[in-house]
Amino acid sequence: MRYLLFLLRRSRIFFLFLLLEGLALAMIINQRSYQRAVFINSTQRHLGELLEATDQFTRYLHLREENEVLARQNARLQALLARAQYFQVARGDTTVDSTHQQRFVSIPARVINSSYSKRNNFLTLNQGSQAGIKKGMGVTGPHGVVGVINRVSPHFASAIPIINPNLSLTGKIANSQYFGVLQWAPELGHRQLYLSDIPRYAQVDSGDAVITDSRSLIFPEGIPVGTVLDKTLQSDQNFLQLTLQMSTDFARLEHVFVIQDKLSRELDTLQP
Amino acid sequence: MKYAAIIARFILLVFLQVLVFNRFLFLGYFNPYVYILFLIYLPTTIPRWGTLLWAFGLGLAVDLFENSAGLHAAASVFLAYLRPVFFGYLTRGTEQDRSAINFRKVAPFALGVYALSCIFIHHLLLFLLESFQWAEWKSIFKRTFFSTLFTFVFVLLFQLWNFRRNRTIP
Repeated sequence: MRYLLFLLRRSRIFFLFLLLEGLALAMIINQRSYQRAVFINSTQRHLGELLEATDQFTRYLHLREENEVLARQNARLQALLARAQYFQVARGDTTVDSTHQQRFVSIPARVINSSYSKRNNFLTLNQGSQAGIKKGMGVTGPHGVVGVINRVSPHFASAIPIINPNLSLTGKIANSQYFGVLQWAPELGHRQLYLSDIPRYAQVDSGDAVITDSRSLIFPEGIPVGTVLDKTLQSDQNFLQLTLQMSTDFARLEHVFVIQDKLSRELDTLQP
Repeated sequence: MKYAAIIARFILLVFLQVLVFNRFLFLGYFNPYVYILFLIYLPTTIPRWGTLLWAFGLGLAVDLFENSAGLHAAASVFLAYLRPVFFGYLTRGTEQDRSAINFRKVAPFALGVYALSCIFIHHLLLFLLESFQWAEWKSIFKRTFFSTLFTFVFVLLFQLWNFRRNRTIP
């Protein structure tokens, strides 16, 4: 017993070291596996406010450019309004008078913190559950797809961007309708993306546009993802893996929209 | 008085790291982690348990802003624990005592080797824990190597500034 106490006393620095490392590792593992490190994440209100305050400085530098992009996006959205709606046909040949009902609603938000050079990148937005944001909603930017919401607090939300290896979405080639899996890998850098599992007989040329697919159940169909840069045959020899140039530049992303699908619950009851 | 200076340095480096250096990217990929200057130059008169706790707090503060629970804390504590191993570079061939090293009186070259070792150990564990899988060892070593160089450049700049400051105010 005395010897044990002596041993403990002599190597107390080592035990303190083990204790602190254990604490840190527990935090890492906790955040990795459950995505819910409750007391350390920037969705916490005070940190969020601090981040927002620092963001106010940098925001003004990009104001003019952002305005231009937003104006262009407005014009595009007005031209495409019908796409965000669905036909409500009552029975056979009779149609209800108000044929168009809203399906997708977009909630504007601003990016107040983000990373694009790490392996597990993330985004923090300045809107939360009070603005109607829920876990699992899609996020788009002025140029195209951004990511998916994964945590929400009353005033802030955090999203996993498509440049995170833990997220995969469905995308398709705009002119031929072949669809595949969109997945990012760290070696690509923040401007490129893989689209894999495209059948090898598909005609793909570099420069073809890739858009979101309605199969993803998160985004409306037709939101731009990027353009094809390169194609290689996958190791199974049956499918192609395409490298895309992403249309969203995560290095200067500022204004985004969180997309709410009003029919998502109905779709969930139908599809397993 | 001594602790006031340490706390001031702690706060300054965390804010510099979060507000400035996290936005600094080399080739759009490699991030300098200059905040470990705090651990490299932490006075050796502080007891070792104190050093470990300072390192844990420092890492946690950076983690809070980077959304990376525990990652920097783990790497910083690891560096703080291994730091005395590198003191040999600093005391070799001088009269200095290991338990009270005056960093301003160490030869610049020895100080550089010491800082480089510290940075490398810290960054290696950081990137290992960040990817958490051996299959990516190539990318881990690449990132460790370039980020170490990148951080080292900033450490050298700091040393240069410190050196000149000593010359002007004897």
